[in-house]
Amino acid sequence: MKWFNTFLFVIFCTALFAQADAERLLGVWEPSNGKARVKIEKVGSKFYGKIVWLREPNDPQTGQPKVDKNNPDQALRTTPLKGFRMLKDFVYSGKNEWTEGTIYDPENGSTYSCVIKMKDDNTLDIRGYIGVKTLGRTDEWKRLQMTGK
Amino acid sequence: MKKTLYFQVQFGLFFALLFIFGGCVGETEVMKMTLKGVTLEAEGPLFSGSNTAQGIATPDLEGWLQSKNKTVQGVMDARLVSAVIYAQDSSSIQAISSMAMSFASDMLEMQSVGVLNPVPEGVSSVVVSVADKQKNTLAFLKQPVFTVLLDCDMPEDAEDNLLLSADLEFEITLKQ
Repeated sequence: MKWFNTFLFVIFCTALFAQADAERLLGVWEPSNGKARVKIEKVGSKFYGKIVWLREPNDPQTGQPKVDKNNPDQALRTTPLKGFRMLKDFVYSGKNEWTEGTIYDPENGSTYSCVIKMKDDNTLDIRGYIGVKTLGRTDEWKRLQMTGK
Repeated sequence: MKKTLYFQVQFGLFFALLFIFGGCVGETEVMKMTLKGVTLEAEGPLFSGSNTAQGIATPDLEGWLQSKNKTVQGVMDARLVSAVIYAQDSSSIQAISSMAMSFASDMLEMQSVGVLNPVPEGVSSVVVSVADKQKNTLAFLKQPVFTVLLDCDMPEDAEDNLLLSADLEFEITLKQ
């Protein structure tokens, strides 16, 4: 019986460790162009990222807050870009990688397959691609550091 | 004579195709299913900007169909046709400047289903404009549970929880 309790304890600790490992992705991140900041959060067991800050929050043509005007679904083109979920459905697959997700580019309304690789605790490689991973583009995102108290 | 035969063959082919495709498509029936009072909550304190109120929907599509003497195998399509958001306290709605609704599940890709921008002033309930493209709505309804997310843009900080309810109406298309 004792060995069974030990076995259960080991399983529990492993699951807890795996969850903590996956959740290192949570936080606010900035793409290399510095145009936006994206907050990654967890819903259920998957990870999603939404835009929480824009360097230029207003559309220069209208003077109004930017909306997702390139959305392929016309009914959703009034969705504000601030708060928009551009990273969707990422699952932690181990070895510092989150896969099975998509990234949306609001500048052209396209959605790409995407893999996130954590290079270190404060740096992500975000690779968007169509079809095969080799045909894609990688961008480096930096974790937004909280300053002061 | 040759011309008449040509037209006869054309007519024959036309009716044969009509019969074949007519048999495949069959007649359909559209029914409305409503998930009433789905509670959506965001825990306070909330900071200005985007905050997510979320809740769990339990559609029980199979049970609902059984009560109508239908089976889930007969369902061809489903789409969200109306989403009404309301709060006990109308100030909760007034604290939001825009909202975007999505469905999420561990088993399915997240689907954006509606948006309201801006939220009108002085109302206690609002109707979200629903998406035209809804490729996974039926798959969500077939789940025992799925998460409803409401991303709310709030112009000001709020101390309290944001507590809202949603009435979601779906159109279910069935083979007759």
